[in-house]
Amino acid sequence: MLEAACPLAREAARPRSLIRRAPMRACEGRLAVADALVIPSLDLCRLFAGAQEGLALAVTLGAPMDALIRRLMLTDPALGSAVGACASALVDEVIDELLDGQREALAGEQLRLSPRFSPGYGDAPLSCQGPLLTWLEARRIGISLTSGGLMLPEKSVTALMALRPVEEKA
Amino acid sequence: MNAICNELGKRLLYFDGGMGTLLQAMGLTGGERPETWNLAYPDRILDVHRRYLEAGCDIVTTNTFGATAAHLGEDAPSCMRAGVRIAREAVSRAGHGYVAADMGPSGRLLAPYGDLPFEDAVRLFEDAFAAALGEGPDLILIETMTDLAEVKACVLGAKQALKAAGKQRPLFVSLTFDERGRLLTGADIPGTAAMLEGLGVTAIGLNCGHEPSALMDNVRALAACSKLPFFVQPNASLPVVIDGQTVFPITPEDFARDMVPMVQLGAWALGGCCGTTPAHIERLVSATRGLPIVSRETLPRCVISGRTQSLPLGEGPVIIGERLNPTGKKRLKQALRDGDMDAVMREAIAQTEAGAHALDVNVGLPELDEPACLTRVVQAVQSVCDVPLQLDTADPRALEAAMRVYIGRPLVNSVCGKQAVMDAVFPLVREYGGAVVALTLDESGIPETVQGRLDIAERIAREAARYGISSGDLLFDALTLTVATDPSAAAVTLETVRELHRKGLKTILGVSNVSFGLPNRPAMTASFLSMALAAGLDAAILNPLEPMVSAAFWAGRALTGADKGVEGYLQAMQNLPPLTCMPAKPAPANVPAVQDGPETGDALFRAIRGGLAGDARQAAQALLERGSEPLSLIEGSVMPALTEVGTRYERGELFLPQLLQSANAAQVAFEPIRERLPAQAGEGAGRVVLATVHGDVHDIGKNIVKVLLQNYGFAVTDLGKDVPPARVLDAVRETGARLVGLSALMTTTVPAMRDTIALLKKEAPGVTVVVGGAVLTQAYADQIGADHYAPDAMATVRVAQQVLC
Repeated sequence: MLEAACPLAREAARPRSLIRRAPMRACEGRLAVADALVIPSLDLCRLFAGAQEGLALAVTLGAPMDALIRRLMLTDPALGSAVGACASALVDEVIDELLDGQREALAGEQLRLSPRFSPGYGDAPLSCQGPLLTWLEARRIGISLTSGGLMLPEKSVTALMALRPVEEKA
Repeated sequence: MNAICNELGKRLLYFDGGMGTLLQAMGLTGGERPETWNLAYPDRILDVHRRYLEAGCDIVTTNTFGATAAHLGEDAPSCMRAGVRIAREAVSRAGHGYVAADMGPSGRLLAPYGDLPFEDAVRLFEDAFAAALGEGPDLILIETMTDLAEVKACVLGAKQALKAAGKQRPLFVSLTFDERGRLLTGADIPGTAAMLEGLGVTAIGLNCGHEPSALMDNVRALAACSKLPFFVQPNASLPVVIDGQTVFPITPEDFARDMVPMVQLGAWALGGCCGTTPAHIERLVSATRGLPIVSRETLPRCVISGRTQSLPLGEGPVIIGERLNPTGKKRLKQALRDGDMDAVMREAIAQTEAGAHALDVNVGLPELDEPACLTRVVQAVQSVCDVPLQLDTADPRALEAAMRVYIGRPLVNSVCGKQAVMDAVFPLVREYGGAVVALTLDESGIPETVQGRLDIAERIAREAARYGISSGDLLFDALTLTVATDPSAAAVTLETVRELHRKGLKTILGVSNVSFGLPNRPAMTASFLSMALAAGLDAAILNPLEPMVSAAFWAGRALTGADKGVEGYLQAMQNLPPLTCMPAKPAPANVPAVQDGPETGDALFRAIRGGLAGDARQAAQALLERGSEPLSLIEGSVMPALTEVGTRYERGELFLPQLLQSANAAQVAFEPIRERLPAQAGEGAGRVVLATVHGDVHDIGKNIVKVLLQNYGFAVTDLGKDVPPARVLDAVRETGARLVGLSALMTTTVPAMRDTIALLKKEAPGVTVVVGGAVLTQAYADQIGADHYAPDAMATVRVAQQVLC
């Protein structure tokens, strides 16, 4: 099943990404992202404790992936589920590749990246997704929000990461 | 139309460059919407316009890219009005220039990919343009569009606002294609251009996305496929972030130099997008001002398009799948009556997978609200199929409703020589665009002679020309009659096709009619089709799932020289069963067709248990032909196999893909069984309403539950995803269902599940609710008031059996 699903997912994927480095600071239970937005979240504040800047990213596999999964769920639900699972793994793969490149560049500056954290996890409200996408200009890669604050295409991810000097601990 | 149209094509016109980059330099923060500065800092916006006008630009773009209620709420109209006023003031002070009322994407994704209904999007844009028009812009500029549905909604919004204001303004529409020449949602350049030409826009442009040199391939493609004037507004380059700032590294000189070839390809207006500044525009004007305007010679083409695929007509025969038509199809009729779009979508997918280049869509049932039903079917089919559709209706209201929401440029089926029909259909084609099927009949009926049909064709072409519709956009239907009732009928039809082809006109035929009432219909239909292709037929409406007819099409296409290297034929044959002229040897009466075991039903049981869909269907058919009772097959083979698989899944011996494959095999085997079931049998297990709750768009788990429930004999009303509580309640009331299944994937949408349960408990207290989804647990289910928690799809089936059986 996966042998059939993975090539289908890879063929339909139109990976696009945006990444932005900016000042990000935690203060009094809120994370200030550049001059664009303030996210009330103790979890994010813990992640960014002491950090002065960070990276924000948005990644999507594109609308054709949603269409493929929708079509397969009608004609072959088993394959459709498997393609959906492969696509989810593929988003992570795209992010990992992207961040590997970033880590390499950051190592030259003696900086390291924290784990990534997405709106909607922990106590970070999903309502910050809109301002974050606007600031990232995620329309350039085709990510939009539903009225309920969910991202479309469905196989899309946004995340924030803290940047710290290599020797410093979080 | 107005001054700018008079200048277009006589001299190069210049748009301005980027606005956002300049505003950021003036202090616009990442959290601010640029349009709000029209009210807060009008002088700064005025200054940007002044600098561009001084740099030599002719058309200033208002600072209203996001001036819709979607971005600005109730401030949108005032920001829009102020934006146009400021640009007018700048032009007035400069003493030259035009004002383009600017509009970008709404930031929401339209149905069917997204959740913004098409007509809501049209209203959103109409309101924005209505505000703009009050301040007197010279033209409307729709730009940076990346979704075909949204650009159509925006153009319709602009046209409606203009109509309401009693004004005419040029509509310039610009899109952002990727390096493969596709919009973000997949549409190609020819299909997009065909749609926009049909909608009557003034000029088409390419903007944003890339620097000039990287846009060249897309500019060439646009120049080759569109007869409209075109314009180009590239970025200074792909943005690069340095020290937290977005930077565009191409210099004004580089930019200007790389724009020169655009003029040579036929661009009539130039400008810049992200990262370009007055310096870029100044160099651009200096580098190109003296260049001669190029008038392009484009070949007249007829292109129809779907959501992502375009299809040229008259450049080799094409198949138009005929099966989305309820005439003579019991199951499709029932699906349309029940609003069962899954069945409709499956039929559409099957035809495209069998090689259909386009699909006919007809929902003509007397008891249906045809405008609503046709619209719904078109949107459902376009959510899963990329090919163009042929909108097939005799009801002009239904046609207009479908043409509005249709994504792409449709084929309209049909007009005929009747004046009343042409009076009703041609205005719609002029308004929304499309190619048109023209039946060669009129008020007097179908002429018996070739000349009679040719005369009607000529009359239709003359009438179409009055609406600006060229004969190249008409596909003449010479009308296939039944050869069984009139032996000369086919000859007249074929000769008419030949004559129309000789005149350089395009032709279409619904070929299946020819064999009506005869035995071995595919043989007759296939022969007729071959002869029609030889006569020059351009489009055949047929059943692509019928192997003999499909084979005749691909063979005929190759034999008429339209299939280079016979690649189309070879590819199509891979999907067809071997065809033979020799009758298959009948199996001896005492030898079962499927020899898996001595017991009746054993082969079926094994095939379903093994998840082998093809074997399961074959076994079911063989058993039915040998006289097995449909109900005994369900009770003796299908259900026991599903039960065994379900039990082994619950024990952890099998996994989800195997469970689904068995379910699929059971569903496939069930089709021939259902055809022989007495009416109403098989629906006895009860009905379940399923929904992914409001705010949640994840429906894979819910769909798996649906498949399993159906295979256990339950009727399912699937409300889809992002379903508001009131709609679940309405469905319970309409269907009388006693069980509701709710799904949610995200913690943030569980409150919507709680609200839905609360509403159901209050308004429909007899209903049982089962919940499931990745984030749910038994404790959570208890907390939100659910009656049952199902950790997986099989558990939902068990709940349904417990509650309904």
